Amino acid sequence: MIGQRLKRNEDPRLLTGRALFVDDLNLPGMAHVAFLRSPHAHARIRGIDVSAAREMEGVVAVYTAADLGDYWQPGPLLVPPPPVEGMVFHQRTQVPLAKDKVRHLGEPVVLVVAESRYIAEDAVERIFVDYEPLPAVVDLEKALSPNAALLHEDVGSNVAAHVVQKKGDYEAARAQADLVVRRRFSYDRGASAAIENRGVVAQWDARAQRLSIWDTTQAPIPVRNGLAAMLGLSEHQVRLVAPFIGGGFGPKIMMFYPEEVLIPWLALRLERPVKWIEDRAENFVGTTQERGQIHDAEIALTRDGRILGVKDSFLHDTGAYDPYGLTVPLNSQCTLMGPYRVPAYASEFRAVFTSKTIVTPYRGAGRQHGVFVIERLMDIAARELGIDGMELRRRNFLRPDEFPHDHVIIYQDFAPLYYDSGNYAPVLAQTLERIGYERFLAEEQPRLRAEGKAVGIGVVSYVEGTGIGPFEGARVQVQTSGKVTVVTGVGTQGQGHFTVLAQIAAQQLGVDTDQVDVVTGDSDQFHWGTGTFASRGAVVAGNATNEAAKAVREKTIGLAAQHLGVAEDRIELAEGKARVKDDHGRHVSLGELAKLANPMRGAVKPGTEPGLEATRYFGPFRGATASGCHACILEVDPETMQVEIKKYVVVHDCGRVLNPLIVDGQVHGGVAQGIGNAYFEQLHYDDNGQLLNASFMDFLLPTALDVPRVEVGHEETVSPLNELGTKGAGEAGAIPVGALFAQAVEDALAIPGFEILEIPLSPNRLWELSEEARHAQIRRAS
Amino acid sequence: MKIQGEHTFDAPRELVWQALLDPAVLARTLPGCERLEKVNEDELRGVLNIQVGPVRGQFQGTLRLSDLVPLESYHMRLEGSGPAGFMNGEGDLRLADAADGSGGTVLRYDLDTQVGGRVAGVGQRVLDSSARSVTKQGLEGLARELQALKAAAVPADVGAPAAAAPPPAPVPTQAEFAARVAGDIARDLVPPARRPWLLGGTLLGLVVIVMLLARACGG
Repeated sequence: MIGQRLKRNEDPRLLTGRALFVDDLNLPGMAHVAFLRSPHAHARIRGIDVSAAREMEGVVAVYTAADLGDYWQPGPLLVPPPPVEGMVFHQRTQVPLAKDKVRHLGEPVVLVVAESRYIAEDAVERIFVDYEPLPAVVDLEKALSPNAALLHEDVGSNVAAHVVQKKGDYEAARAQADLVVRRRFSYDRGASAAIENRGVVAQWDARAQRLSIWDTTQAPIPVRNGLAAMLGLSEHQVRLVAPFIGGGFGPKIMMFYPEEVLIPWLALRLERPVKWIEDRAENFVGTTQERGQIHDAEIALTRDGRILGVKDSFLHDTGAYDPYGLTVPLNSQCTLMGPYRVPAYASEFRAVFTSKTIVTPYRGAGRQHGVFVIERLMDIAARELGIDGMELRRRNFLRPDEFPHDHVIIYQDFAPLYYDSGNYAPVLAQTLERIGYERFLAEEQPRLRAEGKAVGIGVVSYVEGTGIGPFEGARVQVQTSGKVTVVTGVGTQGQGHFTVLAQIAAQQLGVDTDQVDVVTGDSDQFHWGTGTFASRGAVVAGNATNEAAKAVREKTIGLAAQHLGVAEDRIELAEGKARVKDDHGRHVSLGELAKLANPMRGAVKPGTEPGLEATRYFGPFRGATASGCHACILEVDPETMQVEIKKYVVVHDCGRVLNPLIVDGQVHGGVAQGIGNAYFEQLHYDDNGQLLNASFMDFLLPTALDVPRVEVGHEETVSPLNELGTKGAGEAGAIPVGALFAQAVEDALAIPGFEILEIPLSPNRLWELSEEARHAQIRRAS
Repeated sequence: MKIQGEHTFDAPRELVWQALLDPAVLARTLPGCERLEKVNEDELRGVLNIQVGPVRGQFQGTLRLSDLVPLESYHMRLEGSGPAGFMNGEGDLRLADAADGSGGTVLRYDLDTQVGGRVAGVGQRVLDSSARSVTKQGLEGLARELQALKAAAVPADVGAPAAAAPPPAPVPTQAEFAARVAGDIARDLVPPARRPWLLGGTLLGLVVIVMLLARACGG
């Protein structure tokens, strides 16, 4: 079962429109919420007049920050700062409704509850807020100048955090170098643009004293626990359901968004169901974003291309608040060494408060930046050393005998950065083979160039830290029908959990995968869990499922041996039955055994449990480090700077592949998002912190026409850190695309001295950059 | 956003100055203007209905004038906001005799503006076109009003009763206004040779008009 290319169990429900999404809930007596959001990036609130809104027919209630009383509290710090010596971190988390000032465009200021969303939206239009605009803080470097406006005056500057991490002695390494390449790189913001926006529905059952919440969250259990605490309820009084979700990508993690905190409170207070569904305009400003960083980086090498050390200093845009701690910049810092042997690394970052939407992880979660910086440095170094870029990579790859590899610095799981296993050279070799690297350079590119076509090739490497702890759990049960149920606390946003977890249980219990029902994201069914993030679902929940299924297998075999009167080692589980290995005629079905395990008379023996059921937890010692290479051949139209990708290859190593169809799908989706990030999607803020392209008219997503067919190859270097030997695969598709695009576009345009040091690009930007390079070339020549 | 531009009226400076300070004239010429009230000598309050692409809404605005030099110039500061966002602007209006000696008057406007909220985020792609269109319609309306004022000033010479008020220039309805904006935007998409004054006349142009209007109300 494991390793098979099986179609997904959940797809019939999803494809026929029978899956439950939050917006499908329409409960009797339900009230609807709309928010008044700040039109300013930074402003003091001088006064709020809600009287006209309150008087409107159909308006149930209107709340400002002042009306929330004691419930008004800054949100929790979701990830504490890492245990790095000398680190500075200023915790400033988002508030349910802005009180004295607004700190980013779209920050909620007033909440209106009405009989319909229509009325609620109309009422929002009748609220008057008197703002005193303050200077916006947009540019990362200007934000740190002494005369910059301060987002949080009490911090004394806009520095949210400062972290220095070191491995080895970079200065000594640099002193020995034959070549030092130093560049400035920048990476701008994008929106994750999930097809389903956020939404929350809450219902208080006064008779049962229970609160039900349906929430588009990636972390149903932490959100339930947090909301119960905020609302003064027992955790068991709160049921949180994260049903099917149309894309998470990070921003739907346990954010305790203002809306997420307020809707359940309203349901309790008003004693009626309350619903809020985010519209796309709100999503552009109210849902977290990612990716603004500026790096000043350098790499020191020997003449023969051996990396001696890397130094990096970067600014990270954390937005108006920093509830998610330093996960994103830590990922950038810890991914920057890539698959290479880097004996000395000196890295420093400052997280900067800006008057923009909060930054939290979005698919890749900072790893993009690290990969972009190191791969670009490698490309430039290769050029300057006169060594082929692929050969330079090969010379620096960590060898299989160098694992596990301790990179010393602290990673996002707060343990030293540790590569569990890897074998990078075969991944690159397979990639070059599939893309036809040698042939393209020797034959196709010269031929196409002779025809006047600007065609280029790119190949980049990356690593991805995945599958971090702390833990997930699963309960596996054989039912009397013979069907198997797997229940886990992780949420699901399209990753294929219903299939992969079923495969794992099916493998242990000898049933078909379609005989396994998987339940995720319902705190009434399983109330321990962390969440779906950091490409960890298959690794952590998968191994928990495996452990639970193994325990059930043991119970089942024991009971079958007893029932069939043979030794346990003669029993095998197959075809939904327990049977005698050398006598298949002697068997008992799993359903029958489930009945026997739950007797109506007699007594269960002391020390045993009824039923064929077990609950187990799994927490990995460290995250598992996946790796891969992306390659593409593309053509640039020199007139329009439109880019057409002719061929795209990904070779990925996520350890044991549980279901290649699902891994391929994850990679395809990631590549599509990566292409968007590289060439289409950029959030354009003006100097006043206004988002100038806050709709899909202007924020371009790649369409089916822009995303090529992606050929996927696999290598399997198993992880020693979990029994399944697997590593995460959720973000790999998106991470290296910016670096790949830059390399391939440079190659296609073939302008001497042309270097792409920023992402995202666009036809306009590419035109500007290439013209600058051409002019510089002319100046040099003359 | 910097809003700069100029427009030449076929009318003497006194008349233009007077029209620019006449709230009734400005209320009629400013597309989408619903109301204008004088708060005090230097301040006016107005209500504008605005549509920028898919974003439509009412803006309540305040206009403050300062540094008034009769027949020459003044400084203005506008703050407007509504459910669809806000517009703030600040800058100068200057009048000069037309260089061609025709007796006409050149109006030059130069403003720094900020537009925010949904108007900026969703309406961005048609913001310039919409602002140009509104500015154009406002200036054309003002030109019509000036013609009517000129006509009213002339009868004294020919002995006709001066008291006969000029026929008020026709004020476009909201629907006509919207249709013209749409038409202008459509033309913008396939741009002809751009009229120089239109280039400068973004939304700020509209703000300028509001300011003028306000000044007029202020008398």
